[in-house]
Amino acid sequence: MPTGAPNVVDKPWVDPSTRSRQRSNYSSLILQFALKDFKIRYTHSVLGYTWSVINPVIFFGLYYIVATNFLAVKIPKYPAFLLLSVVLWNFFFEGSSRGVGSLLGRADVLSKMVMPREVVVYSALLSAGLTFVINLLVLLLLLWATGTEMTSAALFFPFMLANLIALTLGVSLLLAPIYVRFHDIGYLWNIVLQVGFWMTPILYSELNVPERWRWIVWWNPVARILVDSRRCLVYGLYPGMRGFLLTTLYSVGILLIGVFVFRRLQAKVADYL
Amino acid sequence: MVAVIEMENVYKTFQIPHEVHTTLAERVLSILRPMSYERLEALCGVSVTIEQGEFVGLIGRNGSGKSTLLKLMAGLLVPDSGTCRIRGTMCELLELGLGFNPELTVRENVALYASILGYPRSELDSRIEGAIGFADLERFKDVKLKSLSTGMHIRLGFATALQADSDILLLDEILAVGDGEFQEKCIGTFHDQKRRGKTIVLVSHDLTQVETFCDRVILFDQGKVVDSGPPRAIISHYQELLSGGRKKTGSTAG
Repeated sequence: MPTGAPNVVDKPWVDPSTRSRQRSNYSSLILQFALKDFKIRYTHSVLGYTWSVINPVIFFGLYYIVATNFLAVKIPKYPAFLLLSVVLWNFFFEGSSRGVGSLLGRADVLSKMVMPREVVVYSALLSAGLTFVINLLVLLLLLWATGTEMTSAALFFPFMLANLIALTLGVSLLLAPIYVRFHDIGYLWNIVLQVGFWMTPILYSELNVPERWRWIVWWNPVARILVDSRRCLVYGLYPGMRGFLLTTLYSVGILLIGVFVFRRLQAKVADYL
Repeated sequence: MVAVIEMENVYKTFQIPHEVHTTLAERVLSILRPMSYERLEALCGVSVTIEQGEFVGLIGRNGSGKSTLLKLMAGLLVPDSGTCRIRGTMCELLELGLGFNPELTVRENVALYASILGYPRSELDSRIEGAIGFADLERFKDVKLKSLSTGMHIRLGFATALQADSDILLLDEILAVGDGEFQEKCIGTFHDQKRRGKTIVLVSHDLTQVETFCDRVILFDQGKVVDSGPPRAIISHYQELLSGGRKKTGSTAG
């Protein structure tokens, strides 16, 4: 048992609700939560972590067969095109669903222990990020196997990833505290994601979208990131600078809104958990 | 004496939505109506000061506001009005079970809580072992928590919180469980904590325990502090309150 009488007199008065910020080792807490989450997810399965690869690979195969044979999609370098899109979309899908549900899902801890509540959102995203990293490795393998040439344009890809992460985090921080109060958000977000899958050029190219529907791609931030990622990674072309800046503005804007809303609502979260 | 917790004129109200839609039509129509809420006034104008080295018991009927007050002290809830302030480090152990994860092992759970409580990194391992040792669970260190009994869960939670070695300890109904041997151990620990100038706030329904341990008892009723003072006097006041309530219901029933 550690010793030493407390010298409370010297310590400053604090508002207990600000206490969480002083006490935890932020980054290690996020990592711990994410790793435990990842571990628990595969705890009763024989194949374990392999599922995080099997899942996207199977869907990639399915989409590939449907798109090339049934829908007669003709896009150059389609395997790389499709796998990249599926991997990016999967991260957005998994990250945002986990992130939006994270506060409610961790109600057991959050209603009993004082800790920075955003930690739970970050770790949900990190846990989805672990799957994402594995999937990206599979993607690199496919790019290499199909002999896709990398150009200096590929250097833009990390920026696209940063945008995607900012966007996913922004959505999660924005919706997670609202979800605690209104469970409708869960159903709503589920629908948004399902509609989003078809309204985002994942299986098809943005060029397949008729002119008068193009605004859907234009205003959909995930679509913008997908289109530019394919340009720079699969086709070796630079993204348009204006478009790229606009995408960045978009993602960072949503992130800032998310941070703002989360800060405003987080104090009240425990009332509804 | 030096105050370590100060709460002044604290109000806390919960809004609980009414959910009485018996038919499908009602359910559909209820979307159009604004939701109606029950206002539950958990605390109305509570002022409490707790001083360093005190061992304070909070007693009262279910729903009298004592657990809410503890959560406000911990900073889990924010008051609607009034001020709360504390000084020194604090550790809370609220409600049974602590929110441990049943799918993780004993050691993993303690390690996770150690991170939340912010143990210093250099002492992390020794304190984790210390907590497991105090709870007498070395044998089950690498066993998933779900295979342990409820009593063991609570022992582990208490042991983990103790290892935080904070200036103030908030405890909600944790002593009622645990076998005789462990309770003995807890008593020893409390004396030790007291000697070292630590402050403990305890919510309990076990009046014998409250009388044995506490220097001061605060009695709550309907979200207000009714009485505060030495254990014996306050406990008998509480018993009067309880029997008074019983008489009333008895007379209406009879």
